[in-house]
Amino acid sequence: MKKEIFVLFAFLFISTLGYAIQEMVYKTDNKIIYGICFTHKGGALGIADNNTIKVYSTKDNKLLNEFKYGHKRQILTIDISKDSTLLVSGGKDSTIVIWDFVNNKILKSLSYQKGIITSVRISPDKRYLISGGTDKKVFLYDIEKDEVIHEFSDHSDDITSVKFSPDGKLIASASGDGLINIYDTENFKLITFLNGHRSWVRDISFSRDSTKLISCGDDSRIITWNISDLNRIAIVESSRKGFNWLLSVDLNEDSKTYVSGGIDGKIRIVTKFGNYTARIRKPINKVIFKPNEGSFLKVAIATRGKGVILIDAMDM
Amino acid sequence: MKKIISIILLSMLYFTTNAQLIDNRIDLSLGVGYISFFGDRKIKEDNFISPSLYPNYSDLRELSFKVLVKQNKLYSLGLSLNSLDASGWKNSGSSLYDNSKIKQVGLSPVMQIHTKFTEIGVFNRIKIFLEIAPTIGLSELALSNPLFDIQDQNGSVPQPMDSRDLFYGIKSNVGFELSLTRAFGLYFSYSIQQNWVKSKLYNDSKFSYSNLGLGLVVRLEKNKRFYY
Repeated sequence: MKKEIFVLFAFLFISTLGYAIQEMVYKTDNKIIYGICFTHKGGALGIADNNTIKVYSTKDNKLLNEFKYGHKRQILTIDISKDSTLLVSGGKDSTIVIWDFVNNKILKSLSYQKGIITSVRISPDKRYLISGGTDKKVFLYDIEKDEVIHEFSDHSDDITSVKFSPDGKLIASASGDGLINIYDTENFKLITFLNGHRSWVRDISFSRDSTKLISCGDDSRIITWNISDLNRIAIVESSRKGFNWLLSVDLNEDSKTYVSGGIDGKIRIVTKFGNYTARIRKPINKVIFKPNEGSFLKVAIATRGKGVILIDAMDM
Repeated sequence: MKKIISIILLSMLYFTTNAQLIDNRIDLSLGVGYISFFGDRKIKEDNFISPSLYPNYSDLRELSFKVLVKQNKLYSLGLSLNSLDASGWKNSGSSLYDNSKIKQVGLSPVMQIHTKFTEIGVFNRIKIFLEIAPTIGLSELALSNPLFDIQDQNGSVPQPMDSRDLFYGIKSNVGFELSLTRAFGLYFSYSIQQNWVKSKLYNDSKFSYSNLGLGLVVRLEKNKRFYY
């Protein structure tokens, strides 16, 4: 019997080795978090915790601010403007709230979108707001004029992610219909659609120079698209990572390194020098790089069941 | 060696179950059952005593296939197909059905009441259920020896050696499902079934049995909108 007990302990020890990563866990009321966002320089991290947005300092991990009373139900998505003056949020109550990030005030509460809001983004010039949701529509809202200037209805399933390209010229929307649509922000036309995933596309991320787009989805694939020439879009790389749904992907500032997180709790950071893998053991809703870290990669992870975690790739 | 393998398997169970799961809509179950018939081994009718058929079988196996579609957070509806093989008939006072075999196929619409799926916690991976299932089926008895030896002027009169009889009944089942991954799980259940039957080859008018079942559950059609 002693031999069996030794084998059991040896097995448990070996199995645990791979999970021993150092992590910083941010305090949240709900352990299931969907929306997180860093400020442009990475000094603060916004977390959508139930119907409140908490902002933590990334230096000392102290709570800096709480944005309350804007939503009646859980917030699923948040974004902070490049100059850290605006915060937008959307969620299950079908409401989009624009907040004054500095003075903690509600500037506008918008209810033009009918479904649950799954993704919101502020344009780099802070003029526009895009949102997507379960009503299968993407809305472009002019913050200055205070009006919806265009409604995109090309998808046939839920919108899972919307993004502005860093140069502000393009809008990309990912959907449960398996497509990624690329729109022109000047004439609001659908430029093209990217058809490479075989199931729901869950997340997309532009490269800093707006020439690449990376996407992930329920087909466990991560696809890198070359969009430098929109008339000749090509798949640069397509790789399958296991058999589980990949729910989030983010391209780092170097436009080569990316991180992905899946429903199996696995995080993969893929760099040109090699890969890092860690297992959180809770499904990962959102994973984003902390900006301005150079080659010292840090990622914030919104999980289903373990709140928000910040990990350093060096510890993986 | 078996102990070591069991310990490793149990440890692996710990690791595979420690992940949150997504609610699914369709469950396919495939399992085996260990059957025990209830009831008297003899039937008394007026002053005539005859051996029962069903309660005297000792080697019993059941295979079951079930499909359940979730209708609500708390109940599912489905269909179950069961196949039962019985042999090893033994009765201390009779050899009437020695070496006989029974094959049964039963079809049951199933109503299952179950615990609510939760995003975190125990009920993310475990489902406790209670099922009620009316059953209709066919019971096929194959004898190895004729029940009676009837002679006429030409010799022995051929006797029926098998019979196919329709039965109907009701089954109640309790158990739990343990999901190991988003695609697979195990179930453990205990059921009691009461059936009624009429046959020319035996006097049993009803038979009942308990079934200790275990099997594999395939979880299909996950909720893609799991976070709304």
